Amino acid sequence: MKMIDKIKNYIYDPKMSVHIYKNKVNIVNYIEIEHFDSNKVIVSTDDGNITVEGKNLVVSKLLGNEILISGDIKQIELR
Amino acid sequence: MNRKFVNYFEGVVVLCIEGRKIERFLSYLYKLKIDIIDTNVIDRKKVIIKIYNSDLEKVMNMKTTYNIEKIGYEGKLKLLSGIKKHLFLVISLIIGYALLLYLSNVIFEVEVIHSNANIRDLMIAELEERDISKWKFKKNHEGIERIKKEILDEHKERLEWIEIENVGTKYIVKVVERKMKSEEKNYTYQDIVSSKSAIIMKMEVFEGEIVKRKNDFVKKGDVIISGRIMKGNEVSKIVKASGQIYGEVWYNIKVEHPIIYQSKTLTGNEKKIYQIQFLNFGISLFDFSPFKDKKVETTNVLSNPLIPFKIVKELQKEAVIEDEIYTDSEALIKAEEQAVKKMKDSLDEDEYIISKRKLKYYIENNKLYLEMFFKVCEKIGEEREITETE
Repeated sequence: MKMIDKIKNYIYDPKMSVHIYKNKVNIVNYIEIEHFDSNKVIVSTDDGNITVEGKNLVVSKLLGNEILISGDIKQIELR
Repeated sequence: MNRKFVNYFEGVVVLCIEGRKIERFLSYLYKLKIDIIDTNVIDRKKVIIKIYNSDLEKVMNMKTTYNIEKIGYEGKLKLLSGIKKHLFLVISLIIGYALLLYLSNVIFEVEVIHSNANIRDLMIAELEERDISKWKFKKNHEGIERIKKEILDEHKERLEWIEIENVGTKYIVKVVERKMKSEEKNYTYQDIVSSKSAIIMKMEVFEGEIVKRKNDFVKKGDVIISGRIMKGNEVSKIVKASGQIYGEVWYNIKVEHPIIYQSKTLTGNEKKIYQIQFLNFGISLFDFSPFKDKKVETTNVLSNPLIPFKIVKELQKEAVIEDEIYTDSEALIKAEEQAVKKMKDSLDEDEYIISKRKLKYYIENNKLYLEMFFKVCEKIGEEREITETE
């Protein structure tokens, strides 16, 4: 059963998570994009708002539950 | 749901968007709940995005000042457009594959190996009846075994053993004829004649007039026990002659035996592995330390004539194979044993070898050729009907 739960969790992936890569931030299971421009992106989640600040920010990927922001990221804040 | 898995299967469209404030366009897409799979910003006025094909209509129907151009496909759509573009190649590949399937599953020749033409004809007819003939599809292992059993059951009085071997596009059928004790024929009047040239060794006469005696030389067809009972120079009555005649018959047997042979010794190590077999190639799965030499017992796991490959389970037993060379005298002993076996195989239980002698032997191309002479005691009497006209 453990294996089935693991597979189920992997497919449905219910938790909010933030993955930080070089010049990229991936947010999974967000609720809404509050604000978006080339210097600042604010995304609301169950655990609060995530603010990504930088230069030339672009939404590289935008899916129903996942967003990938890329650009020169200076600061990431969870409030 | 993690969509990475489905991206490939859903159609993905690549769009080039041109216009001022590109991020505003992306916001529109967000508001319309359109998924953006990937974004590649070329400059401040130009961006390349990837969206699902199902969202394309919504994007194209957007009333904006942005210039939207479809520049490519990915996933299923790319595959479909690729097929459309290379339709001729794809059709050729499909036809080629079908042809390969057909050629590798069709019988081009059936060869029956037997010296007797009647047996060959019988086998060919039986195989044809069971769809083993030229231009017919090959059978699987179970089918071949079933056909062998059916033919043997149907002709148990004539056939002893059948082997149907698939060599490339050809079926080689080996047959062993059943050696029947000569059936007692139900003639009203008969002579007992010699079936071959021999010297009579033993006679047991049950009825009839003895024409030839022990130590007489007879040729094929000579009457040994006559069904005509003579009185003086006249035939007094005609009977059904019967008796058992044994004669000394001479044979020359030629055999060949290899000088170099391979001895195979099992080490005791064994393992079970799965193998994907394609045409004459086999790829072993997870076999990280394959045996150099082995004895293999194979079981089919997945096999279908329409699929050009099959999966088999192999029980591999490690073996050590060594080339060994017989000395001339060893090879001669082996060849002699082989000749004696060959001779004995053609004899019945009550028949035996009287004496044997090596006539000549020579070695050529790593083989020893031996010719042996045998004197054999065997039954030589056979019934021949006496007809009224005689």
